[in-house]
Amino acid sequence: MSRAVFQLHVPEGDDVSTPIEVTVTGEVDASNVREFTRAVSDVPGERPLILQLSSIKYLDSAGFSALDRMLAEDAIRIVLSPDSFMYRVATLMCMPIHDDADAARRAINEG
Amino acid sequence: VSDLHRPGWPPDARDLPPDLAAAVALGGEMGRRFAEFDWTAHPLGPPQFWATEVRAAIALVLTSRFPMLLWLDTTELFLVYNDAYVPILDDRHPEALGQRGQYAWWDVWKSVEPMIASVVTTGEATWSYDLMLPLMTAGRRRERFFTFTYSPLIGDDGTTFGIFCPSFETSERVLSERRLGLLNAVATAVLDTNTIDDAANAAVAACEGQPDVPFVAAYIGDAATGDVTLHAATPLVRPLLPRTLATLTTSQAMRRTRATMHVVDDVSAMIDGIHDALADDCPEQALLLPLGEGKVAGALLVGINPLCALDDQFVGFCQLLADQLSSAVASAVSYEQQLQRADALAELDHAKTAFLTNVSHEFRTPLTLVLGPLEDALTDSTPDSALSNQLATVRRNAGRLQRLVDSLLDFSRIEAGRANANSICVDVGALTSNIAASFSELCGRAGLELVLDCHPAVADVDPGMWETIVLNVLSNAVKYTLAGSITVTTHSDKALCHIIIRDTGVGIAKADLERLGERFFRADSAHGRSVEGTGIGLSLVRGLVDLQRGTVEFASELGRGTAVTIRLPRSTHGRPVAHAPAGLLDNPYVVDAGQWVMSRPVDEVEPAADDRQLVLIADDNADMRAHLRRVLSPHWRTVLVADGLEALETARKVRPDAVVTDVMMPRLDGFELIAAIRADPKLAATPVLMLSARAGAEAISEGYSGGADDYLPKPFSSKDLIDRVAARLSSAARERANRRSSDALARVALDFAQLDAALQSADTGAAIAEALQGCSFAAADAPVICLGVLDSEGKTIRFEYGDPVPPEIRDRYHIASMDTPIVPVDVIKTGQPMIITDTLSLSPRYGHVVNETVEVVRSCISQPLRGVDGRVIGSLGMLWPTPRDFDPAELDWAARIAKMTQSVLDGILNVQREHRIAVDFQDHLLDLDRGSTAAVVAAVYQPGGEAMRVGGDWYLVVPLEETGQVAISVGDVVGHGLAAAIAMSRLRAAVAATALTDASPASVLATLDRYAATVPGARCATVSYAVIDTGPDGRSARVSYSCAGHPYPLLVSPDDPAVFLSDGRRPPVAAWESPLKQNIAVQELAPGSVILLYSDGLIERPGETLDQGFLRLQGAAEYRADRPVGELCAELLERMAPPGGYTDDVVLLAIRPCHSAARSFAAVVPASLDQISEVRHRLRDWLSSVGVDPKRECDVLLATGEAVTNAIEHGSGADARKTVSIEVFVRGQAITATISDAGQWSGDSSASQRSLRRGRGLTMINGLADDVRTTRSTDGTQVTLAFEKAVLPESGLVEGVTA
Repeated sequence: MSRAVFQLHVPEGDDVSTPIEVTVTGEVDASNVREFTRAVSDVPGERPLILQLSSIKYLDSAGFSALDRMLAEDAIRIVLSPDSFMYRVATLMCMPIHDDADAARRAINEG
Repeated sequence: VSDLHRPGWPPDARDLPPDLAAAVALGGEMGRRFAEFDWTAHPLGPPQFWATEVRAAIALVLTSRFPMLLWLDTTELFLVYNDAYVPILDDRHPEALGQRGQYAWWDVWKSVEPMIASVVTTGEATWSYDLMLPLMTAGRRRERFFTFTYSPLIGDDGTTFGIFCPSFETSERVLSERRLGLLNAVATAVLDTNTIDDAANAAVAACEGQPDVPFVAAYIGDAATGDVTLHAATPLVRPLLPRTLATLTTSQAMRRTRATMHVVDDVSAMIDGIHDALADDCPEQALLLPLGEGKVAGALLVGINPLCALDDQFVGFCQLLADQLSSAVASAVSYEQQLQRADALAELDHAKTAFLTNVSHEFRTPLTLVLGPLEDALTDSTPDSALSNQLATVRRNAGRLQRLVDSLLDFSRIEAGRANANSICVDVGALTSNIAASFSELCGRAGLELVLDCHPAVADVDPGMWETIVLNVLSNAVKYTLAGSITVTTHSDKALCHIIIRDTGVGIAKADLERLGERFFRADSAHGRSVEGTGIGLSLVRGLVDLQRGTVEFASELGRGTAVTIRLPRSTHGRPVAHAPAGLLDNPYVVDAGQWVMSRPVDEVEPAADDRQLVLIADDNADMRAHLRRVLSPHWRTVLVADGLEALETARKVRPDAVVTDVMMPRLDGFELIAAIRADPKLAATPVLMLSARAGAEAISEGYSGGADDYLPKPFSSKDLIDRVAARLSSAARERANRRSSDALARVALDFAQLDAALQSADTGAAIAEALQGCSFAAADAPVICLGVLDSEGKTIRFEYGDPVPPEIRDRYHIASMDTPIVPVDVIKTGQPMIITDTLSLSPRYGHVVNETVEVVRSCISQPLRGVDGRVIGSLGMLWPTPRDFDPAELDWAARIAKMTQSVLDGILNVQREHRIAVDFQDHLLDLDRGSTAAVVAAVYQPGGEAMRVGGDWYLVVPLEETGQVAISVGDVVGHGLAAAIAMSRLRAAVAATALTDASPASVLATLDRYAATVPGARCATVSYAVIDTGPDGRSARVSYSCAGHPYPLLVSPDDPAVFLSDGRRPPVAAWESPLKQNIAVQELAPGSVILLYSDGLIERPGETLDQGFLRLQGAAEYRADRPVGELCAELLERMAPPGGYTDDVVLLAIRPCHSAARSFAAVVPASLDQISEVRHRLRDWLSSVGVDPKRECDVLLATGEAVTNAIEHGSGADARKTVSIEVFVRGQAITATISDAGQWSGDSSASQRSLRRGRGLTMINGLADDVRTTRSTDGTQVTLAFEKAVLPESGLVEGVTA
């Protein structure tokens, strides 16, 4: 039995620029969405952080719900490159996304 | 006492020897008495000295249960008897034991002794059958009857030492038979009696000489005086009896009631001298029994046979005797009443005749006073003036009245016997010819040929009477002859003159012919020229002919004509006097008949063409027609007809505004005319006014119930008639106006009727919604229909939409719990309709649903739907996409539609409830275990035609412990109904239980063979059983199976033709022996294969071979193999159905092992969220292997994943014991995925839309898949997702594909 697995890549070290950019890989579904939520909220540092999802392999509606709550708390900005696996779905769901991390940063700085 | 001692015998001679000692021990009371008897003091001496044969005879008697007596010693005849004989001895017992015969039987010794003597002398036995012996019993002599024999007891020396007498008392039977005989004799005797006295005397005579009733006396009441007097008695006793019952009973202290029986204990005291009269037969007792009923009630005194006890049997017998006489008296009474009634009727008849005579006389005077001045006035008036025409009408009808009165008077004179014929000798031939000639002009007008062939015939007749006779017969002939001829012939022979009047008229029916000439009888004929008449004409003829000493005879045939033959005795003396009748042309008969054949003036037919309303007048009397026209024509146009048929034809032609009709008319009477008018849609509304001479409330109500709009009894005033016709015409005009304005309403009604018809044919909620959607209503912007149905627990509402709504909305709002803030919930809760002109103005409570549906719904009407019990059962929503206002008419029809819908819905819900009970029962018996993850399974059960829902077919899936293994079975028990269902469920349970311990087909079938032999009705059941093993890697699946007399399993593999697995066949369970009994077969399964098990009902059709059925199934299954198993089952069931549906019940089971193959994928996972990634990874691998377009891989994975998640969370409630199955197929470039769960989706779909996550899930599914279909049933939910162009084409096959 293989459960869904995701990885959170949090940049480490002192020279990390804020807002912090966290890259997610692997799969998020209803079976591990709680861990995913907890893992993101456990990331230290300022909010909102930038969540890079372009490399994620699978994200179901449970995952979108989790992201929705984080967005509502203004805890994240989401980056999805147009050629990424989830882009079409995110568009379909009308989720606010940024094509790249720079765009996300600009958005944060503009408030 | 002797000292002789025998070995084994008691030493004391007084003691009994061993044989007798043994006998007395078995002998009951008499045994005891025999032992205690002091035989030493008896002439016979101690028993020890008795001879062996004596002792043997005694032992035989004492131990027997048949009444027996021994006479010991041929001279002294000492008695020895047994217990059974005691009742015969009665009070002689116990002294009779050992007594001499002549003392014991002193009272009958005279009869008995000679018999005994003869036995002793001759040795020959006697035989007496039912011999009467008047034994003294309880101090009195009683008649007792015995059947017995006396036979000799012979000792070892050959001499007779005594007499043996078995005896049986037969008194009861003999007496019963004797009394029954007497009762029969009495019954026969009274049978033909008609008077009370006859009946009583016959009964008494039958009792004469009968020993049981020494005397009888019948006292019977007099209906007039009430005295109860003696009517009959036994002759010897009769002179001694008082005349009245009262006198008889004064001497006795008895109650005065007649209802009870009374015992007279001393007859001599009651009736002086009776002892002398009857001597030895004189009874001491008598019974006084009630007799008859009502005014004739009396008593029957019955003397009691002195030799009989007055026991229950005797009393019962006497009561039967009294009952018989009572019923004879009752019928005599009713006979006398009938006689009296007949007399009274005759009297009444006389009175009527007298009355008729008086009345006729009274009529004549005023009539004479009318006719006289009338003639004068007529003479004075200007000829052909209006006045003279009217006066002529009056004279004609006064003349008619006079003729009727004369007839009545003649008639009543004849009846009273006071008519005297003043006969003179005339030539009847010439006279008749003269009279008949007066009809010639009239016949000419009527188109009838009058043939006179009158030869001289001399007879003595009263000329006036003869005239009446001939006029009556002739006018009758004219009346009933519509075409042809009337022939009058006279001739005479030696004795008689014959006068024959023959017509070619309508004739008279045979039954009526017999009654012809009866007073007032009128044959029921509507085919004459007129139906006027009193019914005395022909009976007057008969009476008058009688007075001429002649006879009259009627011969007739229906439709052919009638002949009246009068025969008169030929005059033997004198010469005929010339007699010429005078004034025959003015004779009322001729004048009257002239009215029937009067041709109508032209203006009666042709109404003047003006714009006044038209009144049709139907009456067969010409005068009456003319009168009606005079009265009505100043006001309306009129058209006149003479009978009902003409009236109907004319009405169809001229369409009158009103009809005035008589009741009694030829051809078609008034009632028949009205019925015909009402039945003709173009005439039905025409008001009809009925006129009739029949007055009285009854006749009037008959007129109204016959369909008349008004009824006017004759005579009526002209003004009344005009008023009534005017009233009818104006109300008819009003009705017409109403009809015009109601045309619009009728159109609406028609729409509703069409809708109602559509609704009536709906059998589901969805069909109702569809029917409502299809209805064409005034509003141009037809609303979307949304029908909400409350479930039986009242917890959730299920919605059905009439028009396609976006699938998202349909999926979100297909079901809602009763706490969801949506409009239908509140409508159902409150029972009040809601009218919403703009959803955006609704309270925030509905905010969510309003936002969700704003694209589709902006205004709506929602109505509660109620069942017949008043409970709210659902809601009817009408949804518009734009805000709008509703006018009252729209609200009105919305309410009406809701009313119609609710009754249909209520009916459907009731049917569904009943259906569910039956289905639940079968489902209970046939649950489908989907717990196995080795294969996807589906099964259907289809009940056969009219048969009871439960049947003998089963299916079964048993998940086995061994991973990747599952056992399946389909079977069929012979027969239908509960018994078959029970046998079926037991066999099925046995298969399941055995499979769990040892799943091999050999083991399961062997167990089943043994078990079925013990289950009633299970022998010869057919079973197919298979174990599927998907193998360790899921790639080397195989099936091992055995098929016991059952249609072969069908294997459909992806790349090969479908094959029937026939190698594993064997005989049915618990049936005949066969070498194939252990037959098992194994078959490899290619990945993606499906196996079908089914019962014979699926393939069998009447008139077909089984092979045809097999071929049909093979073709259908190959064609549909690339479908999910659930769909495959449903489709095959539909495709295989014979025209007209299955007659037998059908089971079909499909199983598809889990696999990943070139064009298909199947997986089953426990309903746990842990499983979703596992199945996703397998699916992803398979997708890669089939060459999925990478751009669509995400769509397929995500949408399928969402559907699986939904199935686990909502369909199965994340219950890991349940499973979710996924079947995916590649067809061309398309991929379809079907996700099935066994859940009811009873959860709240619309509530969960509030949970954003599920909302997103549905959005994703619908957004990513090109088509989404959801099928929900009680077995679970299936979601099928289709993805077009999901598979990359093989290079070069499809144009326009770029890298």
